[in-house]
Amino acid sequence: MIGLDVRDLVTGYGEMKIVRGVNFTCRVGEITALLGRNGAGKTTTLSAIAGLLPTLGGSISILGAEQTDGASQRIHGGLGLVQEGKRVFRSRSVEENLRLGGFIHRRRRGFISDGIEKAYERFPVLKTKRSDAAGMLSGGQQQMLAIAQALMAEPKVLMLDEPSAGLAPSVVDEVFGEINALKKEGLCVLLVEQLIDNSLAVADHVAVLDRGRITLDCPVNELGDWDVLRESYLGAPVIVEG
Amino acid sequence: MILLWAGLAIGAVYALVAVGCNIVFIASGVFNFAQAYVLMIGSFTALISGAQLGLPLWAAIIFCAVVGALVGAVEEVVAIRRLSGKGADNELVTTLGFSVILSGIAFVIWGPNPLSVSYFAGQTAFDFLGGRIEFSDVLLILVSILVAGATGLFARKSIIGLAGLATAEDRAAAMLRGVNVKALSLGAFALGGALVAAGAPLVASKTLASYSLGDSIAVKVFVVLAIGGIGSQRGALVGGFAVGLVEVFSARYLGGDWAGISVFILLVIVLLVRPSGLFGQIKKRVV
Amino acid sequence: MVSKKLIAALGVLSSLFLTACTGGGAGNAPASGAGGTYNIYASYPVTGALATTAKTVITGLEAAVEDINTSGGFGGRQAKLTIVDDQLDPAKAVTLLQQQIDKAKPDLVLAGVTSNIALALLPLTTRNEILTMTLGQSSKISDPANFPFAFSPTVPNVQDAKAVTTQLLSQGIKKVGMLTANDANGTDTATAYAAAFKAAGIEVVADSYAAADIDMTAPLERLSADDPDGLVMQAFGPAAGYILTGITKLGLGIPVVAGISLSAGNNLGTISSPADWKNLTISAYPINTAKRDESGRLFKSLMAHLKSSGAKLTNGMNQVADGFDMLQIARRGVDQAGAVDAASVSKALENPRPLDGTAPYVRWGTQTFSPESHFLGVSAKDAYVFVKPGPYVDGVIQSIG
Repeated sequence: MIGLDVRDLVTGYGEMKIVRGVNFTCRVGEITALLGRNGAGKTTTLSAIAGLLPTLGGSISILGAEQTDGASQRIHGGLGLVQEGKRVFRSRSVEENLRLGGFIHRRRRGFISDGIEKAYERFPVLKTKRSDAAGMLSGGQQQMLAIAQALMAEPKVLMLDEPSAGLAPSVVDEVFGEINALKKEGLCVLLVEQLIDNSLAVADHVAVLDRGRITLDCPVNELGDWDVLRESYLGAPVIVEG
Repeated sequence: MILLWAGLAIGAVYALVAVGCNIVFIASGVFNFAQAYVLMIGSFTALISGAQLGLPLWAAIIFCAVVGALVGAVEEVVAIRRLSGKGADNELVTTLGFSVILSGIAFVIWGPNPLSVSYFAGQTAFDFLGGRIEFSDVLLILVSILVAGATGLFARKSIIGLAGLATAEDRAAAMLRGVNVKALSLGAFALGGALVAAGAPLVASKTLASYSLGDSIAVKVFVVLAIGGIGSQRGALVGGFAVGLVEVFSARYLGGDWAGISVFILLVIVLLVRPSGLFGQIKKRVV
Repeated sequence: MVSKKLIAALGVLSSLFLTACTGGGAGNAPASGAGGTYNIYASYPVTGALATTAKTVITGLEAAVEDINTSGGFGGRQAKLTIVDDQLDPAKAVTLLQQQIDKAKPDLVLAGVTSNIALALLPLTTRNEILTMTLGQSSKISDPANFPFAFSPTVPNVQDAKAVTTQLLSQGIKKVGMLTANDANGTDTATAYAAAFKAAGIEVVADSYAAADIDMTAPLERLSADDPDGLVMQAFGPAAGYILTGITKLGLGIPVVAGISLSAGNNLGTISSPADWKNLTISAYPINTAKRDESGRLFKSLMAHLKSSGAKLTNGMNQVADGFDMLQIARRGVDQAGAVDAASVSKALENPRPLDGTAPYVRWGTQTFSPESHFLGVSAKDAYVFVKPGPYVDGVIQSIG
């Protein structure tokens, strides 16, 4: 089943079109890795899918439904986005962040408190910091909070924008472990990353974005040598941190 | 003691408007300069309620709240909607412009002469805890405390209030949590307008209905928010009372020329010690 | 209403201008002589903050024009009133008047209701030798050496201080608390009051308030701490209401005297309630009180015009009367001079012959200037009356108590 279908997408900021005709699909129960170097248009693409940027051409479908409304409606439609830079509400507490994550289900009795308990089971460290301002957490904890917050809305399609950026290697592994677990739970995951090796290790499908266009789109198991991918599609070799 | 009560009553007016400003600020991150002018429109609505419609006080409060909500909503659509999320603080200019429009409308409709509002007219002051005070002023002080407390609690405890706080902090991130920021902003302007205008029958019995009422209060409210910390309802209340008391006591013991100066000295001291105000949170921008 | 009159007046003016041209004139001032037109150019803030005041004064001007034209005009000439909206902008007022002078020089310029417009126009009207009248009260306006053709048919502010002093003495007040606004007008008043009170042997304690204050408890407490046996207030607008409520709240129980600014600018009935007027005495123009003289022909003429025009007065009658008397005074000058040129009329206004008793003005029976002062020479005793407060009904204070 197709979770996310992007057809001929054109988007950008006003007159400046960053993404010019992008096509790719993400299946439910799979992780699709969207790779590309800095400035390739990855974050711009995600913003357009989430409705933060206008769709200037082409179409976006979530779970088969074409999206024309704003961000709020898309979230209600089952989409989730964990933005880059561990973007949580820094002046609000951990628990308040989680409550906000469940905002669209606020009228369902007990839903939010149940969701918060699930989040604490998934990320026990958050429970110990529940009353702390999110801005006081470590980078890894903030990233976990960001993911937990997005999961509170119970999305069917989850997009993660560079979840590993700025994290220590041990934490990176934990984050990728969580992402893999989400796939097993039946989510459609779109993973935008710069860490090629880690991404391909968990991904089922890979798409490469270069200067606003898709230049490669195939299942991971059809990829030959990853180094070829790295050199031919992503330019200079990526030095893995740590 | 009589000075204490007078200061608290003046402070309550400032606090009420500051609370309305905070509601708007919490949900949209906009400093609404026109909030005091909504009170001014409310004062004339109270005048009409009493003199022409003959409404009882409770009905007048509801009528004023409805008018205030409408004025707030119109302001959001006219002065805010097109600018929101665009970054630059253009809203300060457009809300200032809207306040000028409101003054102008009031001037055209009701003219330059102040008009007394019938609610609480002819009331006599009574002795209360060692100082003379009027009944409407007692109510005013209580109402401001109640409104500040209730809205502060609502902002922090309710999910809608949280959504407002979240929107003010990071608009895009709030949208990604499913918050309809446009509806929230519209609702906040309407609620802020309704609460402030609902207090108008009380305030106007003290200040009269006058097109210049907004001018008298707007700048003081700015100071109140700077002292209390913008976005904090507790700050609005404490700041309002502090400004009212400083005004009254300095006017009494230093002379009328000192009232304004003392308030600004207080402002400078508070900002030197706590740049974000007494109860404000220092905001760090996320890169 | 005003705009229709304006269009009509402009039409008349332009046709006059055309006649002058076809008559072979050089385009200068229209030739004078009986049977012509007496052109009155009025620069008023018809829109803006003082629009209400301007329109009220204009009602009085129109009444005067009607009255004068049906009783012989200005020395046989019919008055034509042209009203121009200067929007309270001195630069705009100067430009508009210059344009008018370039077309046709008016016989009389009415230079606004405020001093800033008057002071902006006076150099122009003086240079062009045009008789000028204004309701502005700046002392700079009455300057016969520099502005020989400029007159302010108003009672100067110093008389207010004198009248209030007399009133305080008559009430036996020996130590007075004085509360004034801290703006320019209030500060001037405070200085004049304090000097007059001290000269009369009255001890003064003073305090001020800001226009933005919404409660007067503090300054009143401060004044009452010095134990005065009377209070003087200079206030209008909301501030006046706050002071009166504060006095009641504090239960001061001492006599309160309000200077002329209270009754001149407000309807006390709309800003305050009778419960707050217990010990209050207010200064008022006689025309605004029941003590006015209603027997004169001009008074009846003005009242008839007000009735037929349907003009409604929310405040006192003084502003309508100001406009009315201003033109009646100018007319008297023209009659006495037997000419319309500024120099002759000014000389006549400075040296008035005694009135024949048949046509007193509406505000005061005698309204004259002198070579030294171009303000009205009305004594403080006659200029104001002190009455019990009350609301205005049809321009007259209905004293209560």
